[in-house]
Amino acid sequence: MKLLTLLQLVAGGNGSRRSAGFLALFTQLREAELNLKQDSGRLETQFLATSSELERLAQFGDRFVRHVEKLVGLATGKECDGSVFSNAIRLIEQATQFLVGCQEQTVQMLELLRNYNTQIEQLLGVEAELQRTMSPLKFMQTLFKSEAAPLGSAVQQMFSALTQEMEGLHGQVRDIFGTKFKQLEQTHRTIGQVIGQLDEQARSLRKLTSTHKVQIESTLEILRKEMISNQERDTRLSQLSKKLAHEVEQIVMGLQFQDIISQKLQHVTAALPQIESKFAEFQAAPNTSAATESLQFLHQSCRLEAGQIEAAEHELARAELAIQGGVEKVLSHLTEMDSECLSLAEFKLLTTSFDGMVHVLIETIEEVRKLVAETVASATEAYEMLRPLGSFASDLTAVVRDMSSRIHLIGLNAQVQAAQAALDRRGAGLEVLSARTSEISEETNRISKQAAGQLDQLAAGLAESVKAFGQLRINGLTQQTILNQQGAAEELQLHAIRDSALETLREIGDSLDEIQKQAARTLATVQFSEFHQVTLPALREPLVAIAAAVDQWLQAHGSGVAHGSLIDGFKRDYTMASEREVFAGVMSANHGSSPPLPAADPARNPEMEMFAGLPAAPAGVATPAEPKPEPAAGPGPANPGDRDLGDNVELF
Amino acid sequence: MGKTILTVDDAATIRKMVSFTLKAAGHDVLEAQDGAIALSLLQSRRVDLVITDVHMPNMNGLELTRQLRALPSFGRTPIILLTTESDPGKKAEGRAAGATGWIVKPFSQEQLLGIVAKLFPA
Repeated sequence: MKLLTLLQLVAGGNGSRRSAGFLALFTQLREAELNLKQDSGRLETQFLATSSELERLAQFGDRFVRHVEKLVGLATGKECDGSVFSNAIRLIEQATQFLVGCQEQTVQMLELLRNYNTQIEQLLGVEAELQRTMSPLKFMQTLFKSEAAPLGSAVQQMFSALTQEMEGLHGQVRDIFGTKFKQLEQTHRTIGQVIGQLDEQARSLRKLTSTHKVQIESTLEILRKEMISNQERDTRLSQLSKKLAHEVEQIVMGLQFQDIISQKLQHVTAALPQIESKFAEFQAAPNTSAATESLQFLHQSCRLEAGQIEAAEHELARAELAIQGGVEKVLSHLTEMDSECLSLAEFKLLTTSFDGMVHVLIETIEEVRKLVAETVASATEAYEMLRPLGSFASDLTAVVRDMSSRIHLIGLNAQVQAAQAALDRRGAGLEVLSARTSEISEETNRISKQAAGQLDQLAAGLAESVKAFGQLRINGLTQQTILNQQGAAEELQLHAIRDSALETLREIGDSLDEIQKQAARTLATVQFSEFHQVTLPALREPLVAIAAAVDQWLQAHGSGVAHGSLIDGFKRDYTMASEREVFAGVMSANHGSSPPLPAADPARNPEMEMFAGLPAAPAGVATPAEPKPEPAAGPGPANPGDRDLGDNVELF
Repeated sequence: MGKTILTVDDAATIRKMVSFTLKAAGHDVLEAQDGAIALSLLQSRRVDLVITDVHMPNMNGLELTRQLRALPSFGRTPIILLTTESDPGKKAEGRAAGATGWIVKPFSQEQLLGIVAKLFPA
């Protein structure tokens, strides 16, 4: 029979019909109670299934978050303390700086070498000057012989020795000019060759260095930006991770409503026998007064239990929404994380990619290594070519000085010989010749000394250059060793990071599939609507109907509803604050007909806080509040340390 | 370092939530569905913390607390009552029984882990 019909029967019928109506309502109530017991077990199983699925979802989520954090950690360098990327960058920067220095040094060396060749050209000019200056000596020899012929044998011998010396000197000059200065010409050519090579090297180095420097700088800039962007991504992911944890927390809180509702319903079902008993009292009432009292109790208790059930319906509906919404948000946050990772993965195709970042670093290290190796080879070659030139220039200086000193001696000797010959009147010609020889030797000496000075400078310069090339070579070799050793280590680590990142990306992709399946499995278990839409209303509606019928009966019989504490004994069963609030609402009713239950203040209710942002409770459904727990009872203040954990937590 | 924690509740969902939260934080978790089972389990196992519901069949959380406190080996083991009960009188009863703290359901994972962290500072 429909409730409305029953209600009309009870309210408007005569004694026996009214009684039959009440009995029918109680029959419905008992059936609903039986269903409640069965459905409660099913609800508990569903909640348990949801919590099991949630646990798996959270585990998948945790693993996924760890993978994501690892990937971003790798991309930002956080996973390896940032040392691998920064070390690689530093290594490249140092090598590039070295190459730029080499290029500048090579330009300076080229300038010096060009100066050396100019000096050699001047020295080769000295050869012509010397030849020109000394050329009269040959003629002088003949004249000495002819002038000495009329003189005594002693004079002849003296001048013969002088002319032999002159001849020897000539021979030496020929030798020097014929061989040593030819070698100087060779030196000139060698230096020219070194200049040519270095010039080419410098040009190539300048070009490569400037090109690479620009490329490397731009790459490093991109890498730095990429790392900053990855750090921002890291921050975003960290926020998402927090949101994820928050959603899981909301679900965990939502799942606790099974226990809360279960306890509420235990209290309701504990009250039902009392309601039945009051109805029995009503039926057996000896007079109207006794019947009225039983019905007033019945009225209050039915309204109270209906209110508790309504509160449970509402809480379960909102818990269901919270859990469903939470699972969907978990999935949404994980998908968001995945898209961050996918965008990270997509970068593989770009030079700024994570994978590309590693690739660029490795490639750059390799290029820099090649450039340094070329520079070292070039410096070594220049060093090897120039090294003998310095000692040759020194040797040549010694030879020229020796020649100069001998020329000087011949000049002096000629003067002495001439002075002796002048004692004989026939020796006047020899005196003239000696004077001329002396002049030539002075001039030759001056030219030779000048050449020797220039050769000294050349030798010293070449020695400096050789030393500089030697140092350049050593620095280059050091740089090469650093690049070879550290570069190899960096490469290994960068490769390891790249491999790890690619593996992590793969794991992220795999685990997201798992998560999506798991989220679907979890959502499939969140099906509590039958309980709060059918089972609980089926229990509540007979109670409401009984209360309404009783209300009408009481009105019809001139008795109002009770405003006292007929049901005060129920209070002791209410362990939850929200139950006590519903109770207080019923107790405070003070008007003639059944008052609505008091609306709860969501701001006061910690349970309501977790439902923020969810749709409101269905219209007409009162929202009983779970007030904040009362302050701790008993002596002494509560431990102030637990205040930050929330009002529902207390450490004694 | 992870602790060994016993969760006692007749509601399997609550046991699972407590267990899942604590295990994820690196703790070992044992479960019992009422006070009597918990007491029996604790004959052979040492735990660092007991988190128990108040309303349970066979033996409720308050009785479990009293009985554990009567055992010399459980004199200093923290016992947290995890309950829907927010009545000050009941809370006082829990305190008198020897409970270390009181958490009213619904609790958040953060609160549960927070209280463990306070009991066992690193």
